[in-house]
Amino acid sequence: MSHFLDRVETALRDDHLQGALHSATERLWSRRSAALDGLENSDTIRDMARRSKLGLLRDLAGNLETFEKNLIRNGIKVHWAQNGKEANRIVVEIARKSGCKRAVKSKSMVTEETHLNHDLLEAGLDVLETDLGEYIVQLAETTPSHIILPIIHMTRQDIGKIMHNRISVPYTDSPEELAKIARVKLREAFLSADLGITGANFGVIDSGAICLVSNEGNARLVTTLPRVHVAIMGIEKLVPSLADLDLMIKILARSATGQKITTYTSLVSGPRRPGELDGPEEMHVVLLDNGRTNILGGDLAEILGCIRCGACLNACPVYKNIGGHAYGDTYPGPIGAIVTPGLRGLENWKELPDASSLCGACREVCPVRLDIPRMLLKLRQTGVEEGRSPFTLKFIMKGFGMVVSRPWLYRLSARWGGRLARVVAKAGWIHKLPGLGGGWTRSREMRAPVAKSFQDLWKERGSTGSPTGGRGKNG
Amino acid sequence: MDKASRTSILARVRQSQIRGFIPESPEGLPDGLVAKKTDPADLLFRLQEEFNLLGVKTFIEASEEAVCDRVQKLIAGKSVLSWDLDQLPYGLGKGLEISLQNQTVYYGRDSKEDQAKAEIGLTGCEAVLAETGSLAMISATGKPRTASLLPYVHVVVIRRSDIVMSMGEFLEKHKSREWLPYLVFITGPSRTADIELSLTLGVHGPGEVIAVIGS
Ligand code: SF4
Repeated sequence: MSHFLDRVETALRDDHLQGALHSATERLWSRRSAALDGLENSDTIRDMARRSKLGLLRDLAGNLETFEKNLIRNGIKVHWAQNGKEANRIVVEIARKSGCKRAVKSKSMVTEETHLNHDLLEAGLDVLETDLGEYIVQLAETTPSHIILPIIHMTRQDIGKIMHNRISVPYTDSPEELAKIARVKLREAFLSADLGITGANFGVIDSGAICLVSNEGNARLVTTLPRVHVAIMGIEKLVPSLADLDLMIKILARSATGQKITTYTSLVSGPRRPGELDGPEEMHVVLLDNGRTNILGGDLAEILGCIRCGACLNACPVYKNIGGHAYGDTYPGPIGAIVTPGLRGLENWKELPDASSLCGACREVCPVRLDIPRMLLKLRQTGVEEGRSPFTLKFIMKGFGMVVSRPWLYRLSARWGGRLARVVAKAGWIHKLPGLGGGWTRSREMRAPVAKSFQDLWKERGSTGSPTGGRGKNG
Repeated sequence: MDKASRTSILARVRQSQIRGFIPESPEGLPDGLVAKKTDPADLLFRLQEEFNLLGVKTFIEASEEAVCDRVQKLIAGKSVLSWDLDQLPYGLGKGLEISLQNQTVYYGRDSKEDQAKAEIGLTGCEAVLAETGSLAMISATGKPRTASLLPYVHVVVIRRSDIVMSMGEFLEKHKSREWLPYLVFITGPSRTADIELSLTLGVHGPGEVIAVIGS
């Protein structure tokens, strides 16, 4: 795979991407703020949600066992997968046993993480993404660039061309027409599919149910029409009870899109019951580890409380400029910078924790108040311990006054040094730096160069501990 | 294979949950959210407001006959995918029996392909959440999930007494009940903003939701 900075360079050169990212993230940001302002006691609700998500990690093993027991009670078959390959194999086996040939999927980050589509196709199964954005991602043979808006990086013209070229429909760039075409095409697929694959937004322990949210309704179709339903979920996606689920639902959509609630919020607790004429005859849940237990055992366990709302992406000045693909793996933005090294190992992802200016905007918007900057610092520290030296500021300060006046870029440059200077100069990007909007307008004091360099901070904090090493609770 | 993975994942979780750093939560938080008592008149008012924001067309009718007339007008001349008639509220099934003889009606027992041909879905609902304008639907015999999902237009008949304020209140009420296997809260028409963040309705589910509220 290309180097992180190469991907950054590509992103910075892409004018369209810059424009699209800025306008979309700004709009989502302001909708989010308005939505949370409209929620009574939102601060308390966020604290309670945090308590609930982090609390269950303290006995995740016991909680998983109870969840499993309740799923089984509801007639759901439960599987455990240590890694992505194993999860995919389980899905392939389920399909084989039940004689399924055609799978439809609703949007699921965890199946992106395991590269499920690849393995299904290899095993000779048809698989179709049905979320509009993911469908287009699949047609274009690319990957999603935002966890809520997968094709935030494409224009309507791009999308029109992709549809025209790949499924031979007349070219149009009207979003409405494009959606209509997708409705017809995908409806045919839904009616003939025999396997439905979803992720899970939450697993509700006491009800033995999974919760799925979707605005389009494709998750409902996927869990209603095919004979067999398989849900794949990370082992951390639990909530204790329906009351906790209520808290999560209150903050999830508000943080993600600014809606009070996602259009379809489904609670699926088993195959169809006797007398019912629709819904799957068979339901499976695959519980996936894939590095999560490593994260749980270290200093970054907190990140397992993430409810994947995407708010930290929209708030992140770095994400706004480099987009999702630069992060190189399933989860982009601040969350990706922590989760990816955690899931895949820091070895090949050392630069990711640097893809942040530590401005704190992510922590501020996070509905469950995850301390993302703390975790990023921790990861950087580990990178340094493993022999990577931090960059110096000198380089960038010479020629690029513009950089210094952009606090986030300034901080980045402190990390990326000469390499970034070259990227910026080559892209001629300095002259068309978009203004800083949203949460950044309030940060005038940040215009001054960062008070402490990373080295200082590092020295100050001491050099003990690593994200995967065994630390005590008071680390 | 499966079994071995289960054992080793759980063992790893057990070790990790002791070693890892899990921050303490803030203290002094309430145990749960307490639902406020609301005046029934406020409930209806709030619901209308939310429906309005969501683009859900709303009719409020004073009698069973009026509900029946309204529904008849809304579905006239269209093919319909309906809940079993005896499952519809306000004795609507009886009222519609005759007029439905002159139009194409599909039910849950028809093939998926046929159900998908219907232009209008006709359903009742378990409850409505005024705070968000969400219809709570629980799948059951005679109440196919498809009726609120496949057709482009969804007509839902709501009993006034089934309006509650919040999801919390609804869940609390039904806590002990075995509401298996499928509960969905439907809040307005199907929507997407995937293409340049521009709002488009009806990409998969109904693009239009019409509510008829009885007395
Ligand atoms: S870290 Fe917080 S803000 Fe970011 S996606 Fe997760 S829950 Fe949302």
